[in-house]
Amino acid sequence: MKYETPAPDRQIAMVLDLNKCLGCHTCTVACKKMWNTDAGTDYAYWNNVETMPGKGFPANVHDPATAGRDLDGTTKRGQIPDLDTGYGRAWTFNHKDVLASTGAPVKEWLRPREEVKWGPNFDEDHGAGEYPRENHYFYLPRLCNHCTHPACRDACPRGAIHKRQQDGIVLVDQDTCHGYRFCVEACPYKKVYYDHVRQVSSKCIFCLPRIEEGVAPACARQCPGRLRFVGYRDDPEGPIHKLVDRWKVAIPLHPEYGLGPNVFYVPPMSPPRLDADGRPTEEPRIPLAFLESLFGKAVGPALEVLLAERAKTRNGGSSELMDLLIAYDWNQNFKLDAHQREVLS
Amino acid sequence: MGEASTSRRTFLKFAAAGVAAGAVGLPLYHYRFRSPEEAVRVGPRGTPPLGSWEDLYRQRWTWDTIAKGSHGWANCRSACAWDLYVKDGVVVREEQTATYEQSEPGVPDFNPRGCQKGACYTEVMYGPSRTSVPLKRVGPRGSGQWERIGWEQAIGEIAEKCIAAANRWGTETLYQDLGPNFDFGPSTAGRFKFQFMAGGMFADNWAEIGDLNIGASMAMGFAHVGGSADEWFLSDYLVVWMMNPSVTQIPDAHFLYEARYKGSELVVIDPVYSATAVHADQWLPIAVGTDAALGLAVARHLLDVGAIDLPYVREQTDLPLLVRLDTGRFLRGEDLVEGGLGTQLYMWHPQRNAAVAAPGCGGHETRSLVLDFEPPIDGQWLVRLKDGAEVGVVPVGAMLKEHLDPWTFDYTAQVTGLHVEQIRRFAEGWARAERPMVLSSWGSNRYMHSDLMNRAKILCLALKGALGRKGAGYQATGWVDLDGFANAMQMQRPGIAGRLGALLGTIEPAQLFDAMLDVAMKRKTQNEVERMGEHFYTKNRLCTTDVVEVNFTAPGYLDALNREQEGMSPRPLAAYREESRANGWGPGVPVKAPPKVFFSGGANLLRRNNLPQYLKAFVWDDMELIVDINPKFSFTGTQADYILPAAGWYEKAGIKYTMSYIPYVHYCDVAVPPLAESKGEFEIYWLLTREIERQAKAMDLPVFEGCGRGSTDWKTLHQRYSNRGDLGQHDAEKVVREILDSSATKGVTLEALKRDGIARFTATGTSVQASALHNPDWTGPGVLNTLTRFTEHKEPWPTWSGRITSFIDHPWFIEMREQFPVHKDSPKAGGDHPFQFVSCHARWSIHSSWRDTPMMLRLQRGEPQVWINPADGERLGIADYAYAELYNDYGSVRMRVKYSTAVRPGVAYYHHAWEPHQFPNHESYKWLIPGLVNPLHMAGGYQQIDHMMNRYQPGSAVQDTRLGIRPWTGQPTGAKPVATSRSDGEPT
Repeated sequence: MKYETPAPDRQIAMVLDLNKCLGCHTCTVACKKMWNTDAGTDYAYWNNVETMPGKGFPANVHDPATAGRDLDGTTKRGQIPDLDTGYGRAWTFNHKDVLASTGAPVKEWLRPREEVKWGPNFDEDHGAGEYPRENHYFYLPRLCNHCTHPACRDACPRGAIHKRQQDGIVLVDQDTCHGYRFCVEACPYKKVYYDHVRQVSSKCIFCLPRIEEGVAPACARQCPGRLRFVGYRDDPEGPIHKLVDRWKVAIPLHPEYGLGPNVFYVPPMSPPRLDADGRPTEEPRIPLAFLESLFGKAVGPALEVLLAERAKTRNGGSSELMDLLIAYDWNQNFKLDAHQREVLS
Repeated sequence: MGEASTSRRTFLKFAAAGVAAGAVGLPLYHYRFRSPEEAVRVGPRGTPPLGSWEDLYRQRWTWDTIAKGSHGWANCRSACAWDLYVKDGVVVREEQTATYEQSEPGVPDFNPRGCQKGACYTEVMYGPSRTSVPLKRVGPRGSGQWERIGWEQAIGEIAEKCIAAANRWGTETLYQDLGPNFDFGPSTAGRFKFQFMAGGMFADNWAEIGDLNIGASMAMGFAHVGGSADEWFLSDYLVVWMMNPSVTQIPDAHFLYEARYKGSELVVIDPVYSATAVHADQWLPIAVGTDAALGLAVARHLLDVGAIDLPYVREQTDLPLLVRLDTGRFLRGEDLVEGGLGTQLYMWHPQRNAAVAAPGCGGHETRSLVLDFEPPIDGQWLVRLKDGAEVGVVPVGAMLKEHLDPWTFDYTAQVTGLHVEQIRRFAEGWARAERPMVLSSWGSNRYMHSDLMNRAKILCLALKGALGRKGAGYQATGWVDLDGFANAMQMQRPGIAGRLGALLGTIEPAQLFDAMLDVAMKRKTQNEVERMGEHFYTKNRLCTTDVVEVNFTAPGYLDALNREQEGMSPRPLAAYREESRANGWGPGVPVKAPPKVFFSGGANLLRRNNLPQYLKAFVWDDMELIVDINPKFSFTGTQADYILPAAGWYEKAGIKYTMSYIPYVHYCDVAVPPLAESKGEFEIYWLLTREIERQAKAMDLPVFEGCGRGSTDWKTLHQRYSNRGDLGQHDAEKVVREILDSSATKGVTLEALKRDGIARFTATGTSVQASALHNPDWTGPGVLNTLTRFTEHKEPWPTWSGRITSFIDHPWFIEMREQFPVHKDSPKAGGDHPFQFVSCHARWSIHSSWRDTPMMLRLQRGEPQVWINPADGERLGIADYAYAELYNDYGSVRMRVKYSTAVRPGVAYYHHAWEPHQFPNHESYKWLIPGLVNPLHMAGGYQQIDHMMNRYQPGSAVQDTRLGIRPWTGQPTGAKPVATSRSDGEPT
């Protein structure tokens, strides 16, 4: 069941073009440095990057069993990821014993003090498929989707989670939250994190202090791959509307849960698969079925549009879509309506 | 210069209050507002009133000041502009300024350059391996027993030991290597200046670390070639060939994927399905080390179907030059006429039906490649020699065709493991392409036969006429030269007198006069004169050498390599070295003794050198003083005698690498003062030279001979270092002004850089690298393309033939049968074992910087790991993340296994630069890597084939290493002990 709640005045949104992602995690680090360096959230990554196919972060996040929704969108019990096997706790290291030893004869080497069972990038570049015919992987950066119908909000008995009226950012009220973690369990994207020091839950705030001054979120503005676009969904001149609604090349992750994510992805193309003899085929390496398991049936048509527009430029023509994705003037990737666009000018 | 404007600086003092400050026990902090206007412009951004819980979040995005900075000493091939956010005297975070402009309409801008490392240098700066106080070793080297001492004691003792060593062994036994962590700011200028003025030995390590593109030097006469990264966007056929920009060129990689959207085809050739290959139109999963074969197949195809730029090939390459069939060497002037020059080569003139002197080559009076006829690149003729004998001659092109003949698609498929159709598709792409471009990284130089691979790539580009054409060509990292930097480290007096003195130090007045006359008379080009000056300076004024040569001064080290390379070349490695020395080809330094004093500055020699156990046994343990000047505890530092804490990169004035990728100068401002007791290198060497001078005067130290390239009087060392007292202890910024007095930074002021962080270069520069970009016309606006000196101005290339070189008739090349690029199998180094051990530059670190930073380690499993294909792992019975034992003839090490379907079966792949103390026993995989030395890289006497800093020198190839992998079930692991005759030696 879904609650009927008043829609926000506007909805802020993000598009990520996976064909430009480098897997460098600058977004992850930018976000972490900004928001999650404290003891209770040191394990948390409001923004993370996954190698797909893979178990993701937290582990098994793409397994429907962990989600607080069935595949038809009905509510069910989800799972709370384990700190060690799900997220991986923020390992501490023994630098002092190794670097400033007192000359003990046993050589201690630098390593995590804790037993490592999983981590935020544990299956980096692992991928799937037999080398060299069909092995494949791609990078999937993830953040809170700031859903139109947030499962976390629906799950909170305290009413501590709301969508902000002016921009639809989903926020956990840090005063009201009692740390029950129903939201952690419910969110199929596992993007609410429990702060085990302050004993409340917290999540991506879409860098609200920056948004309020017209500065894009750190993950987007610091992305050297230039793959992120930020703007309002209802702005017909903005990049979000163009990519999501006009060109329909940007689609949400796991639409099957029916939560209305407001983060969208331009799906990945991939080099041709080889046949049994090693001859290049016309088939992409990433199986469409796998992409559909993440992005639903819209992924096929989105890829077709992308390939058709690229065929135009390959043949010497021009394409408005390609020009938009190239981002000649990168600042245009962000269309926010506040007075300041850049930090300093 | 505007001294007045800086005098307005106001210094404010604040008590340290930040959490980070408390954690590392900082003294008082002070920081500056640079001008009243700026203080308004950049902040502070105060703490909002706490009205609600959202304000707690708003509070986190506040700061007191913002300084402009970059990661000055990071040894990454790029530069990025950052805002450094300072709060309560602590740099709390960094974010890209993203204020670059588009180079020209129609290309994307550079914003927002940066990477995950740059986004968390603060984690290194305040991290657990930061050095903060001077330390002196009190136990044996490497024991970890240290005593905290004061700066005065440290400098006093180090000066005393330097003097003692110089007195006993000569100043050339004072040893520094290039870095490779350094910047182009006052810290490095100070470090180099000390070394040069003390008459110390300075060793290049570009090849030793496996980063020097010797193949490019052979083919074109320079190793560092490449334009701005936005030039990639203009190519229609992008071939990423032994490079992984998604991982190692993070700020620039977007241009590739954007070019793809613009319609370019992107091909990635890599045994690994890399993070770049995932975005390719074609991925060629090539067998390890067979890249030259693929290049030869493409070259053959281009010649076959006539998809070559014939006018370009005639004018710019050696294909029309005539070769004698009887000797297999060039037809030379000395063959034809009495008194003819050995440096005059010939072409066939079809109308005159005769061999005519090729313009532009060394012996020819014209310094232009322009032809007034069309020499054939195929055919065969007879010429009469001076002794009357007739010999057959053919152009290089004809020999090349014959040389390439075996490289059919079918045969190439057998060698490379690629399917014929893949090779055909790739080669046809080349034939079709209008602006083919090859991206070849520094990491493409790590095979014994990398030079052949890179020569093959360059051959393909030459045939297409791509080198020196905008939007096409070879991208292997160029540099913009700052002649002001050269001045700053050479001058001994302030101002114009100092600059003139620096100039006269590099060239003698008579030579300078001759050179100017030569240029005026058009007997030489400006560039040729610059190169002569560079040659004279490095061979006659400086005690320069390379790290491999230094290691070879220890017979034990040379013996180990000689044994390893037995049978890999017609003669033993040691025989080539002997001949090289006898011919005066090698650097010849050190002359008297192996190094005795080592200043490690921004380097990590024991971490990066191959077979460190041999280095330790035969070089290290014989040194009398080892000092690590470093903001970080490195493995090298932990094996040193003194650790001097250097200021971090946000704590000292600096200028980041001036790579052509990003045609801007990047300034690193002093965001906060040096942490704890650390000091910038300029100041450290200022103090050291002052103390050395004091002690030298007190003991009336005689003038030292140096290494025979100019004497040095240590009684005036500080006078010279400080430009006769003009440079004070804290005058690093004055040095910045001197550096900015460069042709590439005309009109750029320190004030403007403090305000903006960046300024666009105004030229490609002169001096330091003899203008390797070779675009004399570029003045800032527009994409920075390269090599137009040759293709548009028609000046000769700096090669033996004056042309892009496919054919080399140096006797050693003939002996090795490498006159043309050929494919040679990767030799088995470390024994015959099933896995080839292939390295790449790291994603999560810049070499060993960030390597042990917790924030980075958490994103990569926390410990060193070797990547293998899951099929190999299952076959070996080693689970993902389990420890494995990696072994070869040198012993074994333990690493964690990481599965990846991207890795070719039979390959053991690793991101490099883990510190040895991240491994059990403190022995890294480097203990298993012999680091092959290609004897040809010790050749000389053939223009571009000649020992030179930054260009040509023996290296240490890692990719040919073989090893086996077995499960680790608790068995002891370790490198085999090194047999030494020493009684006190403690082999690892």
